[in-house]
Amino acid sequence: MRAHLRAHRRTPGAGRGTVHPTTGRGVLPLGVGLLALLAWELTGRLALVNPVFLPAPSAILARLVADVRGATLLPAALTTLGEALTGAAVAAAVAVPLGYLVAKSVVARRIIEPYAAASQAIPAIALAPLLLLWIGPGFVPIVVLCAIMVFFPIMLNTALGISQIPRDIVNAARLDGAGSRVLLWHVELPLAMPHILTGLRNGFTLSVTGAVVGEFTMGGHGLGMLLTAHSHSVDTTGMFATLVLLSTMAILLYVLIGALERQVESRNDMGTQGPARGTPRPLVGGVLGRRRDGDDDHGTGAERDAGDGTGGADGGVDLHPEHPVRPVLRRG
Amino acid sequence: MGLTYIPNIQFAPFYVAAELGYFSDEGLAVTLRHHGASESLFGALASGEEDVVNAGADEMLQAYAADVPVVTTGVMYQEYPVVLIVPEDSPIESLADMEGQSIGLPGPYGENWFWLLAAIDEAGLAEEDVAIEFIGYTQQAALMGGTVDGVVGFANNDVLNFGRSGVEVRSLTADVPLVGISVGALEETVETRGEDLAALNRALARAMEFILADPAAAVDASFDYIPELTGAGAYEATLETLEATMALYGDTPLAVEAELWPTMYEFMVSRGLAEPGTDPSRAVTTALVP
Repeated sequence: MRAHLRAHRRTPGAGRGTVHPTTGRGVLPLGVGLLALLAWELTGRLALVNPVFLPAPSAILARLVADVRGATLLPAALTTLGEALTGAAVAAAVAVPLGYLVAKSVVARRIIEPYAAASQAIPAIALAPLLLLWIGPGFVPIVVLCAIMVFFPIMLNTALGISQIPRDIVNAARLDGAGSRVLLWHVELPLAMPHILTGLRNGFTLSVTGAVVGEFTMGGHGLGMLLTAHSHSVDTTGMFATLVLLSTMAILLYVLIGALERQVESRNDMGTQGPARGTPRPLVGGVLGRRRDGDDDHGTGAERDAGDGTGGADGGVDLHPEHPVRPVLRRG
Repeated sequence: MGLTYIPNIQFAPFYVAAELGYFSDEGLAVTLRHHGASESLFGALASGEEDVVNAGADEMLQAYAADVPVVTTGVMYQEYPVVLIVPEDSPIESLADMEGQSIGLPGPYGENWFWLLAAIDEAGLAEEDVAIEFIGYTQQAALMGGTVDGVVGFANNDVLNFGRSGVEVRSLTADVPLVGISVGALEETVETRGEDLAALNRALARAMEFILADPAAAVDASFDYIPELTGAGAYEATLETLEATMALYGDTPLAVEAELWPTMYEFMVSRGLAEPGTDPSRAVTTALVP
């Protein structure tokens, strides 16, 4: 069953048409994107649209190159990146433990969940004036704003990841003699890691928005301030060039954390399949595999326990971050 | 009619003209529209959503040089409204004392920025001599918290806000080659609807005369336009702001001194605030002044 699911996951688009799945995945979006760029460029070249509203891509690219060579854009980008990364890191440091607590404790969940959810109803930009009053202007209030913006997705994903670990695996680890600390570090966190990383990926990407919103309101020397300055001086090409850099930063963060996520997922897959001889034992097999060394033909204890007909398929599927899961916290 | 800031008594001439029927007396149907906090000054004008805009004449000139041909048709503030605000006990006694001090302002844009660059020039300093901090609209928190030694702000708004917070401040002015808050429209609108714009100016001048004669009645007329007016102490604070704004109107409402534009443009180009290659006299007209 699991092998079937895995094979199914790894051939997206199979049987959906004549386009080769791998080729289609890359070429089609690229082709559509290039066509859109071409049409956009033509509107500029043929003066169909006033460049004050929509400058041509070539003009934006030329401006981006000039600005990158200049003295303003890259330092501004580094400032915004610093604010965003620090904010997301602060949020992660609080949200991951709280997410764990929410998943493990009914009392904690009842206390924290309503407030965490309510906090999401307040637009982050509305908090900026209050942060200024309490903290004063500068780097710190922007970091705090970023942290507030990205806290919830990280906490929610952590709680989701922990709560979806099959109970059988936890029980088996306990039978193996794993204490709370071993269970946390060697079973729960590794198994929840794909979800946690999904939260971090969304959070870190969102934190770039947080930094820009913060700079809009609270000043600074980053890309948000640059956007405001360009907007005031009717410099639409400069705005687009800045937006291109902002998007690039967000995409890079997304891709980097996505790569880390895939690596963890791959290690977890190894753990559920059993490692090849000579390869390092995956984290998930650390505790559970000790008694079952040499039992690789039948899978690790984790896989066997999870696949015993009482939830094996669920256990296997839930470990995969791409599998659609209902984004709600498990109720006790 | 685009008003490029949140509802505030500084826009009283528009509120009064609308409320007391001065626009309709001139045969005009005027819709007032306040811009959002992050909205471009001239975007709605350029797209045709607005016919007229209320912004700095220097900002209009900057837009004109950037191919958004906004022409100033009347100057509302004959005095430039921006000042340097320092604590009462600050060692900054003159503009030259800004050397080595940290000065905060919203960012490298708009009238605060233009004024600071001009003030640095007037003081005989270079930009590098002053530690310029971009602090968003946080002048009050920044100065009160000691994050900066002085802030750039509006004489008819920020200075008063400090006083209301119990912070004693002084303000330093500069003789800058800039022209402040004005009324403007696209070149095409000036050419095709000059009569309407002249009528608008007559209504606004009449409203400004009304305000100068009876500021309290002007606040009453503005009541429905300013949500903050319902708060405790808001009426007195609003009246105080309006009286400080009236001091900027000058002797002749909406009078335009077109000869200031070449000097203003030269300064703006020299400081990288405006694109070169524009005839600044095209960005202003005296023909529509009442």
